[in-house]
Amino acid sequence: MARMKFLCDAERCIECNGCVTACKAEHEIPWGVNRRRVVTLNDGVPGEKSISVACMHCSDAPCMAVCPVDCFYKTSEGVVLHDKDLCIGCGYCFYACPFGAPQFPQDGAFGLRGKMDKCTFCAGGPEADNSEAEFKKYGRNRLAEGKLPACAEMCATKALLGGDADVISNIYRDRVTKRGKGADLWGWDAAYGKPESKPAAQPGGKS
Amino acid sequence: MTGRNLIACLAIGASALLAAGCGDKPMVYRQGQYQGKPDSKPWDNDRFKGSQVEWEKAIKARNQSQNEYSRDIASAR
Repeated sequence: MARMKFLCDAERCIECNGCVTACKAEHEIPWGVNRRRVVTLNDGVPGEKSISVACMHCSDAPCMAVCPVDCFYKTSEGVVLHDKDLCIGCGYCFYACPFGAPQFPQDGAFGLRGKMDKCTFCAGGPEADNSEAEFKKYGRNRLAEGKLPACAEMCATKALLGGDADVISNIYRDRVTKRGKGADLWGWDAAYGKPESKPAAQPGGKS
Repeated sequence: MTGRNLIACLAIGASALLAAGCGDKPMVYRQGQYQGKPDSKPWDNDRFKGSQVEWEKAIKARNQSQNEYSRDIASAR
């Protein structure tokens, strides 16, 4: 069984925003909602690094833990999805997410916050696969078409890899061996590490 | 039945229907468990006809096409 994950190679990302555009176009995402974005660290400084960030579909997803209405679920492929019919737009998931992935459309009056929207790993939602209702609420379901997320497949430099964890980590390992540098993987531990095996933070201690 | 009685009967019937629509669905909340609609598997559709093996084959081909060191574009199509 495939275990779906994202992997961003900071050595390769050229900040072209192709992944952002692919995502927006694929799912017809409204203005103000960015399921995926590119973040540049040390922008303008020689040696700057860019990374493409979205929902990482964490192994032990904090959004699932804090949701007061339990609208999140995880598919057998390890994709974290949610039911928009249950979401109350409270924003707890946004505060819990280490990647800032949950997005809230704010097109109503008085700063009204709508139902949460996030990357679905192009796997739609609980509506019938590839139905109009699913597309409207969650975007296209590429996984049900036997395809991988549009952002990863459209990435020109293949900095962003998406798919079965074993396969993409093997691709990355090969790559690092061949180029001989850049083995640090941003966000991988935060998303797919095992926090329960790490020692608990001490009161007053520095993290 | 006179016209007035008929109207009265219809009005009573309509108000009963309206009142029936006001009921709230009972919801049993299970702490920490997903409360929403069930989702289907990605291979439960017309394309893969319930074959998980076929779906995994398609995904694997797509996965491999991300590796430019051993890219096989033809198999991903």
